[in-house]
Formats: sequence, structure tokens, C-alpha cells
Amino acid sequence: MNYVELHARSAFSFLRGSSQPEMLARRAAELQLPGLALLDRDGLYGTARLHAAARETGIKSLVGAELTMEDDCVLPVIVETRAGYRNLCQLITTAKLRGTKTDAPIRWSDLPEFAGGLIALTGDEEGVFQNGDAARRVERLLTAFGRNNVFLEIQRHMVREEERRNQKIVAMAQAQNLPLVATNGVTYHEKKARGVLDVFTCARHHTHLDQAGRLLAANAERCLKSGAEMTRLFADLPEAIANTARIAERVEFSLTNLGYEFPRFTVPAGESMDSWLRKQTYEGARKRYGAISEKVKAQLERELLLIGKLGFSGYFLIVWDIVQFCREENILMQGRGSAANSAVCYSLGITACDPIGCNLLFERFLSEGCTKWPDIDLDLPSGDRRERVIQEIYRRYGRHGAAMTANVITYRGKSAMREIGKALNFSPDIMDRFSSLYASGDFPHTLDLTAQLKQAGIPQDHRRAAAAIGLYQRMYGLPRHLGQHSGGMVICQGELSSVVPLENASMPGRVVCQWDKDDCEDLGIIKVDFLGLGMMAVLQDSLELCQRRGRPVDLAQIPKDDGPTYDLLCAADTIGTFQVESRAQMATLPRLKPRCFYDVCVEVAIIRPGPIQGKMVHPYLNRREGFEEVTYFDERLKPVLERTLGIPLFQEQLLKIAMVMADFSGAEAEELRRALSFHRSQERMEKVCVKLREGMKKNGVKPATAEAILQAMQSFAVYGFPESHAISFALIAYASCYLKVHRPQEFYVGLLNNQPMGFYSSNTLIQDAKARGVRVRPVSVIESAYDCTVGDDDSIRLGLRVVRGMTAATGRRIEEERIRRSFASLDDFRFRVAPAKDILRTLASTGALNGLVDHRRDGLWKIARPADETAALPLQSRQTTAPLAWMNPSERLDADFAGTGVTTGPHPMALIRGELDGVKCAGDLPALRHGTRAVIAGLVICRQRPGTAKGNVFISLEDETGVSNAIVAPPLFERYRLVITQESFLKISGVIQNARNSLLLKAQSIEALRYGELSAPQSHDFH
Amino acid sequence: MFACLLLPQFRLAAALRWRDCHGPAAVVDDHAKGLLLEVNEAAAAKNIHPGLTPAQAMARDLRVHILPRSPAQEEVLNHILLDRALGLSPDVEATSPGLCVADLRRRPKPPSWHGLGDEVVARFAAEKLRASVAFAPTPDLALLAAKGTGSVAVVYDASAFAGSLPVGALELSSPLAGTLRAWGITTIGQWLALPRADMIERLGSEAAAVLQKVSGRSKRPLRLIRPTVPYTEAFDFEHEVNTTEPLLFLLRRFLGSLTERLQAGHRVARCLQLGIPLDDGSTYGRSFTIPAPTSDLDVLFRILDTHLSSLRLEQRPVGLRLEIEAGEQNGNQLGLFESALRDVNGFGETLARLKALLGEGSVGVPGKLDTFRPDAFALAPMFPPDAAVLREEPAYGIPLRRCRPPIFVTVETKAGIPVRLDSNFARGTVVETAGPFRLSGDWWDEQRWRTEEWDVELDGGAMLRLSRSGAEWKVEGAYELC
Repeated sequence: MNYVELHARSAFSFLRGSSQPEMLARRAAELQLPGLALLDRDGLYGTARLHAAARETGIKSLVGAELTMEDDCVLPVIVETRAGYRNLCQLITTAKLRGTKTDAPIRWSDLPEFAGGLIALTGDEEGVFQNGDAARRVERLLTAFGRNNVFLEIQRHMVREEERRNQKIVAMAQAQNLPLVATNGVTYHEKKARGVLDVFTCARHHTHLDQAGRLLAANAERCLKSGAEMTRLFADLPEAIANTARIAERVEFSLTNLGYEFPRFTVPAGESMDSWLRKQTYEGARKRYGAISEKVKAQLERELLLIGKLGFSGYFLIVWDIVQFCREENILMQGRGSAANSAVCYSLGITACDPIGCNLLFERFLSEGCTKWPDIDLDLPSGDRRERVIQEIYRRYGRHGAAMTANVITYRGKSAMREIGKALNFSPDIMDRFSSLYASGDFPHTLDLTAQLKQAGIPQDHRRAAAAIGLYQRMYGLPRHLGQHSGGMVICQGELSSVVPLENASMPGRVVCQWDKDDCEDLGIIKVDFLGLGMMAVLQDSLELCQRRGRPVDLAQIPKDDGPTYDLLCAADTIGTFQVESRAQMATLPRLKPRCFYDVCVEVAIIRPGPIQGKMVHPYLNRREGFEEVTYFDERLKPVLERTLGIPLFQEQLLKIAMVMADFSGAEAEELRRALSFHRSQERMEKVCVKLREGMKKNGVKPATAEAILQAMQSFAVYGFPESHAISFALIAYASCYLKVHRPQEFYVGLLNNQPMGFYSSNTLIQDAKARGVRVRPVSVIESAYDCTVGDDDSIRLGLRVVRGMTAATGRRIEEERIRRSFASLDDFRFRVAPAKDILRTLASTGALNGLVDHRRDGLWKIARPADETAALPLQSRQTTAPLAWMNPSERLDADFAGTGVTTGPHPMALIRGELDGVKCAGDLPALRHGTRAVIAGLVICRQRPGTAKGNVFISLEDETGVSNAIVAPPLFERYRLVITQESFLKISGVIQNARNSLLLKAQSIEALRYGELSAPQSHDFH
Repeated sequence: MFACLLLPQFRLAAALRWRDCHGPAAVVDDHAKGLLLEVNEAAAAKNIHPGLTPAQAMARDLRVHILPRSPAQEEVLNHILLDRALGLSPDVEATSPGLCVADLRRRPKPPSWHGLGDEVVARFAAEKLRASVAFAPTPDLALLAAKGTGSVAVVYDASAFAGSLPVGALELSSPLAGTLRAWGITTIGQWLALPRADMIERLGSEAAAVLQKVSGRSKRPLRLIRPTVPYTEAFDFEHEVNTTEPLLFLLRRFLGSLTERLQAGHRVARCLQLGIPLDDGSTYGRSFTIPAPTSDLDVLFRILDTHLSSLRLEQRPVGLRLEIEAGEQNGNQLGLFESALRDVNGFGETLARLKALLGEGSVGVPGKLDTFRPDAFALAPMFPPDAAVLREEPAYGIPLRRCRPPIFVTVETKAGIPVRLDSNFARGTVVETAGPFRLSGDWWDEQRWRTEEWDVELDGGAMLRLSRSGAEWKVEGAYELC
């Protein structure tokens, strides 16, 4: 007799299940169960994953959910038909959008409307039979679902008390002639996973295992069981087992026929979506290309044909429409990702780089036989402008028609052990120590779990060490809670809430769907990424400022051969720019010496984990500098790899290699890339590798070469950049460098107004501006606007926004009042603006009141007097100069950093320069020869320990002449770890490394630099 | 004159007491993200100062000892400080931890204030403590002077003295201190030099009050302390004792004196702390909660007598300490239907005898534990009663008479199901079974357990509950059939 498990919860029931859906599917297949219904609590969170896993393992996946009712009873339902699925999605959405994030019960009165196509079970101890109100609840179920669709659920977990409930259920089934169905109320796939569920139970009840008592499971019987075992358990009730198969047979719905349709685009009468797309594409192409060449026409025709054939015209039109909206609303936008490989996208204005001119591979974006939706990501200015676009999508498609995709937050090292530690009743000190032993940032964590526990205070022979380790291994990677993706949105023809349940995000005004982006992609739901880029906001602000100042720059028309811009790149003078400002990028730039736009693309792509881990950076640079000969895996690959000197740097090259060497079609090559980069299926990856090897063998590729190619592909597929993506980023990077060179004032103002972003603090940006000859003036209530601005004399005036504690409302009020009429006196200012006391004090201490007072302390003295409303009239002012001394330079510096985090005055290092004997300035270093011993000192502006740098630490020290860089080897770092990570100012002795245009000090000793307590702003650290 | 006695770096001094620590050291606050509270001179020399994180301190000197606060030692130091102050005058104010002020106006003027101060400092030094002592015409000036001196200071002229003091010596509210810092005012002299009316207008009443204090023009009343009366007696023997008689004799005398003092103060004993110093340097200690607090000598003595009569010590006593924790007399009104024990202390004494016979963990109120483990229970103490251990369980089904302990039994099984059992308790063929019922728990600990239960009916009609752990079968109990 076939038994189908109709009631299983996965870890996507959040603290109520402890196995991944994939684990359940695999175990069900091992036990030869024909099917499995996943009924997660109040959602379909895990169904997409179960569906994918079930396809692989060959079992039938049934969809359903456990619904929390208003009286706290939990009602399991199984989807029978597509209408039922739609009803379940809408039922959950209704409750979720009506309630709060943590409390969104379903009302009994909701059921009749949404019960169609659903089969109701009666649940376990939390179900319909809890609290003795069962008869009434069953009556309600019968009314809502109909007699044929209600099954009395019976479970046997070998617990004495459970049998009493079962006797009641059997009695009711006989009395009311209702069918029984057996389930095991599965909460984990195998017995060993019971421990994690107990830990989760403790987390739900805010207790620990020693105290939880009977809140925990009585035994480990809620695992998946074979048909034979279940049949044995229910030997007295064979019909309960038989009914599981009957229900499964009735279920005709699967996620394969989800019923999702991408929204249809409304086109003018007489037009189809295909014809309208063609019209818009050619119209755009004429603007982009001027005259349309045969080559362009051929590419456009090829793309349009394929787009039409695959039925994607509506999708392109909808994205085009969003782009139009951005244009109309003056929101800077640029498509990124593989969409940049499409000439149609370029013509429609979605992307900014010409794929034909750049010879990009369209197949990376779209290919024949493609079943997935193409991926179009849009970069938008971060902040309000991006939110406007997102809200426009909600406006157009409604709250039930569009949603952000979910982001599943999983238990990782720290969070898993913290939860386990709480449950095992370890002291918080131990958990703090354990967490502190994790490397922060992107530094690879190398400490073994046992050793880490030992160092935290749990030695291996601790009575709970084994439990902690076992639990950690099982818990790692399980879902913890659901967040929202940073920018991915899904939209639908009709109601998205009938395709996937929606719920409120924590962020007001946002709705999130219950699947993440991979789930959506797997099920063919299209996602558009609206990604916020700080630099897009900077560019837009800078360009608007240029326009206002009468020296406009057209982003599309920036010359790509601007010498000064390339000079800046070659000199690695890139603080504040996009993508090329990191320590590693700045170290590479002088070696790569970009002199054309493609070099910038390479620069953007090369400092990535893929090329670094694939050991491709140095070979490329060596070949570029002529230290190494340009060779190819195979001469047939010369046309593919020539641009990158024989080194594969881009994903497109990977595709082309497969096409050239193994006769893959475009679609097959893209499938290869996906398989290599898709971690979920080892089997899928192995399958394509076999195919690739066979193809290469057929084409006479030597086995060693074939393996080398395969290895390069594997490291690349995961981390490699698409060339189109690199070009899109390079466009922004180049534009930022161009603006830094040609419109520095506007560029720095844009940067300062969009902080925090990038690698460097506002103070470092100001020092960089000053080094480029830009005059930066301090905050002043009689000159500054809320935002930083450029003055008539080309100087930058810091805005009131940099003042700590300054609210936008107060800042804008100061600006507006001053525009209305200049402030006549301090009293006038206080009367008209009425700022909060703390803000007033900060304004005085940072000198922002100078002009209304004699000096900073004069301001502090005068604002300390209680405000006098009658003193608004300037003539009545009784202010006299304060009996306080002026601040000295050091005090001014302190006040600047405390009040604004930046200073326009002398650099702290300048104040102590006279006392630094034998210490070189950053400006002196380029003149020193390789191997010279030197001592540098300065304010630490950046500490970096990239995972790809083998433990080396990069430290950037800023002084009054610029930035000097030091590299610290791992043993030295371990020796001076605390000094390096804790001190704001450092003095580093070492040897100059000035070879091949890279200037660094190889540190030999490090000490803290302390003169009193030097004031310092916050550094940006990545260690 | 007023005297101020100050233990500088009080929290650090407490944390360092009895520790052999010579290098840089600092004490951290447990409640403020572990920031450094106080540092010693060696640490200060390394630029380690309060407010740093321990990591920052270690960055400046890896050898720095980072110590947590020691509340117990802080209390001890405070007692020592007050004890010394009470030696100067009966009128003492415990101003703050590590700081007290004594009113010396009722005592004769010493030949030299400095001499008196040196004497006090020397007394602290004998206990390896550093102290500052200052004498001034007002309590606040004395306090300021003590903070400003390393050992002894005497203030005669208030204005001359205060001018050079740093503002940091004053305990100012954070906004006022912040304002003065922003103004660049670092000494009291600079502060006093500001135009008074303008300054008071800006800084408000707090500033006025503070300046009043430092100028010596205000003399606040002290919040005097009343020394607590300890109910303690102790005796050190000239030679080690070998029997309990001398101990009991002394204890009766101790109790006689102590109960008299209790009765005089209308107080009762809530708890007795017995300490017996032993010849190996250790001390045997025991605490006795009095079920019905009393000052009755006989009752209290019986408790100690019962305990000592069963006490066996490896070492010989060299002394005896007895301390009574006293409380107010407390008359309890019983509930209408509640019956009281006739002699609570008598019952307590009986329990004490039982404990002496059976061991500490074997006497109390049994309560079922909150666990699935069958028949798991714990013993809760009678005094004070602990209701938390008890749990109510709904009773249904046929009553089970449990075998305590369970009886081992030989069980024959077929396909894992019991078919026949044999033991002295019961034997026969199994005609009906229910089960298995599986239970397991404490999987995270060494005491992990797993059991399988069966209900069986034997051919003779008996219904039993069996349990199996591994290969062992036991009869857990028999169902009571009507």
C-alpha cells in the first residue's frame, strides 16, 4: 500500500521545523515515498525548493500550508487544484497584509471565500482537536470546505497522551462518517535532526534546554517514515493509510503550472507587442547610432526575432516603460548585467554601452531554447530616487500585483552558535568570546570549530561540547528569518498574490513575496532588479550642479579618450571614484596604466575574487608590461582571448571558449555557465562538464589543455564578471574619474552630500579635494545651505548636513530663513531658526556661527545665555564679547571632529609635524628608491585585509601631504594586531617597495603615534 | 574642621586587594561595554586612561592587567574606611564608595592637623592601602582637598586653595562639565574669574551652588551614618580540641549573650552562621535557616546541638565563630482553613536529624520534574518552601501503582513485542499489549536517556507497565483494576 506523507514542515516554518525542503525530498525518495506535502507554517516559503528537489529525486511534491487561525488553532490545508493554489496564496496574503509581521491570523470567516480547491486536515496537538472545541471547528470546516474535502488527521508519535486524542478523533470519524487520514506531522527528515528542533523550541519560548521541560519533544518520532513503518503503526486503521494515496491522487496541481503571466504591455490600437517593440527599438537605434548600418540592423533583427519567438516582447516594453518613467522623473538610470549584451536594450535606452561596438556576445543575455526570463538589472541613484521608482511599480501594479523578492537570512557561524549557546545554557561571555574569534570583513575564517569552541571556553571534553558541535553542523545554513532583497521586484499579470503569498516587509510601504530570487527564477517568475548605487546619486547630483553652474556635462557624450582622466587613473589618484578606489585597485592601476576605455573595463573586472583566486591577475599584468609572453590555451582561442592577452577575464569568453572548443551552441554555453555557477546541483554541474570534455575531445583538444580550460572556467563561473557588466561599471567608473578631473568641485560636493558611501570618510574626501587644489570652506550658518555647495569662487562650502545632530528640518529652516533675509545677529538667528540647544552648541563650537560672533568661544558664551525673545530686534541686542579665550588650533581640530567629523583646517599631522623626527611625509615617498628604509606616520583612514591577500593587511595613512600605504605581513599583523586595529594614528617603519609603479612601505615595526590624544575621525575598516 | 578620608582609585584598589600585581592595571565596568573605569600609575604612564576599551588598553601595553570590579572587596574597603573615620569622630558621613567625611568639631583640636593626617594614612598603609586625608573648614572643601592631595592636606584659606584646583576635581553634572570644557575653563580659578552674574545667568543654579561650596561659604549638614551592630561572637582555643563538648559549651554561652542582645533590640534570629576554624588553616562553615525566627536560646541551641552531634571532622577545631542574622519579629496570620505546624522549629529539628542520618539531598518535599522522563522527581527544601518544583498533572485512565524502584524482569519478545514475562513480582503470558511508547531526553548532556514503555495484560488478568532501556526490562508499576 502506498503511503504519502501529507503533513511535513520544513525549516521554512521558522523555528518549527529543522530540515531543509531538499533534505525532506531526498529522505522521502530514500524511503521510497511516492509523494510529500510540505505544509509550512503560514506560508509557502519552502515549496519552490521542495518542488525543485522533488523533480530531481522523482517524488511528487504537494503544496499546502499550516494556517494559524484566530483562535490559535493550526489548520493544515493541501492544494488540490490550481484554483485552490490561487485561493491559498490569496488567503495567506489577506491575513498577512491585514496583520502585523508577527501576528497575522486567519479568521474562520475568511475560509468560505478561499476554501475552493483546498483539502483540509485537522492537524496535530496544535490543530483542530486542541482545547476541546473540536466539534464546532469540524463543523466550520465542513461548511467551508465541503464534506469531501475534510479529513480527520491522525498521528502516532508513540506518546501515551496522543492516543487519547486519537481515540476521540476515531470516535468522531465514526459518528460523523468522516474519513481518517494518517500523517506523521513531520518536522525533520531524520531522527538526528530532532536536537535542532529542540533548540528552536527553546528559542521560541526564550528558554534553555535545562529549563524547557515538556516544551521539548518527548521523542524523535516526528521524522519521515517509510510506508511500511506507517502501515505498521496504523495497522488498526488501514483506511487512514489508504486515504493518503487517495488524497495525493486527487491533487492535480503542481508548481510547474503555476499560472504566472508577466504583465501584458498595453500597446496602441493596431499594434502587437512585437511590432511596438520593433518600432521603439528602431526609433531608439536611430538616436543611438544615427544611421543604422547593416551590421546593426542584422543584430537588431536577430535579437527581435528571438525576443518575439520566446514571447519576451512585453517584458522588454515594460522595462523600457520604467526607463521612460525614470527619464521623465529625471532619475539617472543605467542597465547593468548581461542586458548590456543586447543591442535592443541599448537602443531602448535601458543600457548605456553599445554591444555591437564592443563586440559583446548576445548569447550571454538571451539564446535560442532559453526557458528562463532574461535578466535586466537597473542601477538607480540610491536613496529617495530609487524609492520613487519602487513606489511607482507598486502604484502601477497595486499592493497585490508587485512585491520585493525575499531574502532568506540563514543561520551562519555566529548566529547559529549564539542560538545553540543560549539553548545549551552557555554563559553569554563564552558566546561573546566565540563570536569575537570570527574574522571580520572578508578575511577567511580559518579557525576549526573545535578549536574555536576551546578558545571560547568549551574544551573538547566539556560535557556539552559534542552536542554543540553536532547542533552547529546541522543548524548551519538553515533559514532564520525572511528579509527583503535589496532591489529585486516581481510583477505579475493580474494579481501576484494569486501566484505567491505576499506579506508586509519591516520597511513601511514595502510588500515582500515569500520566495527569494532563485525560487522566483526557478518557477519562471520574472524579476527586475532596482539596485541603488551611491555613485549614481553622486553622478546625478554632480551633473545637475554642473548644469546649474552653467558648465554642463552630458554623461553620454563624455569623451572616452580624455588624457587627464587616464593620467588620474594611472596615478591611482582615485579616492572617491567608483570601483577603482579600493586599496587593491589603487595598487593595480599604476601597473595596468589604463589608456583607453577597455583598459578601465579590465581594471574593473580584474580585481575580483575570480581572477585573483584563478591566479590571473599577475599573468595579465606581466603580459601587459611585457614581462611575459602572450600565449593561448589553444591557438583556436586567439580571437576569443586576444583582447585580454590570452587570459580569460570575462564570462563571455568562457561561453565563447565552449563554443569554439567544444562546439557548444549559445544556449548550451549559457547552460554551462549557469551550471558552473549554480551551487545547488552538483549533478547538473558534473553533467555539463562531461559534455564539455567530450566536445573538446572530439575537437582534438589535448586532455591537459582541456583540464586547464575546465579549471579556469570553474573558478570563473562563480566569481567572474560578464564583460557587459564590467563595461557598464566601467562607464560609471570612468565618468566619476572624468568628473573628478574636470568638475572636481561639483564631484566632491556630490560625494559629500551622499555620504556614507564608498571606501573613505568625508574627512578623507575633503583632504583629497584640498590636495587637488579645491578650496573647502567650513560650515557657516550665514553661508551654508543644508547640502554642501559650490561657491561663486569655485570653493566648496560644507553644508549644514555635516553637523552632527543636525536634522534636515532645522538645516532647511536655516537655509530658508537666510534666503528670506540675512541673519542680522546671533539673537536674530536664534529667534528665527530656534534650533535645539545641542545643535546650537555644535554650531558654535565648530565655528559655524562665526560672522555672527567674534570667535568660536564667543559663540559658545553667547548661546549659553537663555534666549531672549525681545532681543530679536538687533538694536536691542546686549551682546558683548565673551570673557573666554580663543580656541587654539588643536582645540579647533577637536571641536571640528567632535561636531562634524571633518575639518577644513590644518591636518592633525601638520600640528605635530615639527615633533616628528625622521618621519617621511606621504608626498616624499615617490622620490625614495626601492629598498630604502623609511618611517611613515599618519591618521589611519583605511585598514583592509582582503580574503584574497593571503592574510596581508593594507593600511592607508593620511597626512597633510597625502596618503601613504603600508603592507603588513601576517606574522607582523598578529604581533601588532591590537595596535593596528585599535589606534587612530600609527607610525610605521619599513622598507620602500617602489618596483613596477607600485609604491608601498613593507612594514617592519608598528607603533601607536600619540601626542596627547590626537583628534581623529572614524576610519573605514575591512578586517 | 572636617576631615575627608579618601581611598583613591577605590574600585581599582578593591580589585587589586590581595593580588600580587605590580605592572599596569585597570579595572573595567561590567555595565558600560567594559570600558576602563580606573587605572594605576603604571598604566597611566603607558597612556592608558579611563574610558578606553580593554582592547585599546592592550594595544598600548599588552601586559596591562584588566580586572573586573570586586563588589565584595569594595564592601570590605568601605567598612575599613568607615571604621577609621569613626575612630576620628562619631559623626561620619559615608559620602560615596571609598570616600567619607568626619565632623571633628566635637573633638579636641589636635596639636597638628598634619600629624593627625599622617597617623591616619599610616594606619591605612599598614593594611597595604593608599589613602588621602584632608582637613578643611567645610565638608566640601575637605573633600576637594582630599581629591587634590596624594596624602595629607590641610586647608585654612578657602579661596587660595580652590583657585588652583582643576575643574575635574568637582563632581559636576555632565552638561555643566561639557560647557566648561567647551569654554576652555580648566581650573576653578579660571572659572571664578568669569563675571559672576553673566556666568550664573548662563550656567544656572548648579554653577552657583558649586562655586558657593568651593569658596567655603556654604557648610552643608552631613548625612551621618549609624554603625550597625553585628551579632557575632568568636573564640580562639589555646589548643586544638578533640571533642564537641567545649564547642557546645561555648556555643551555649555565645547564644546566651547574643539572644539577650536580640531580645533587648526586639529582634529575632533568622539564620545562624557557624564557623569552625580548623588546625589545617581551613574553616568549616554551615548556615542554618531558622524555620520560625526566634530569640529563644534553647531552640537555637538545639539546632546547633543536633548538627554538632553528628558532625565528623577530619581536622581539629582551633576556634569557634557564631554569627546571627537578625530580623524584625514577624507575626504571621494563618489562613482560615490552614493548620499550622504545632512546633515549626521542632519539625525543623527533626528534619535536621534526618538529614544528618540520610544525607543532605535525601530529605525534602518530593515534586515531579517538568520532563518526559517517567517518574522523575526532585526533593525541594521544606524551609523555605519551594512550590516551583511541584507540577500538577491531569489524572486520567486506570490508576498506576508505581514500583519504586522498578523491578527487573525477564521478558520474552516476538518481533520486538513482549509475549511473556517472568519475575518474582509477576509472571505469565502476555495476552494484550499497547505500545511501544518511546520517550527520550537530555540528549545534550551526559545524562541522556531513552526508554520504551509497554502496557501489557497477562493471562492472569494483571495489567502492568513495562519499560525497556537497551536489553533491560523493568516493571514500572501495576494498574489498579477495580
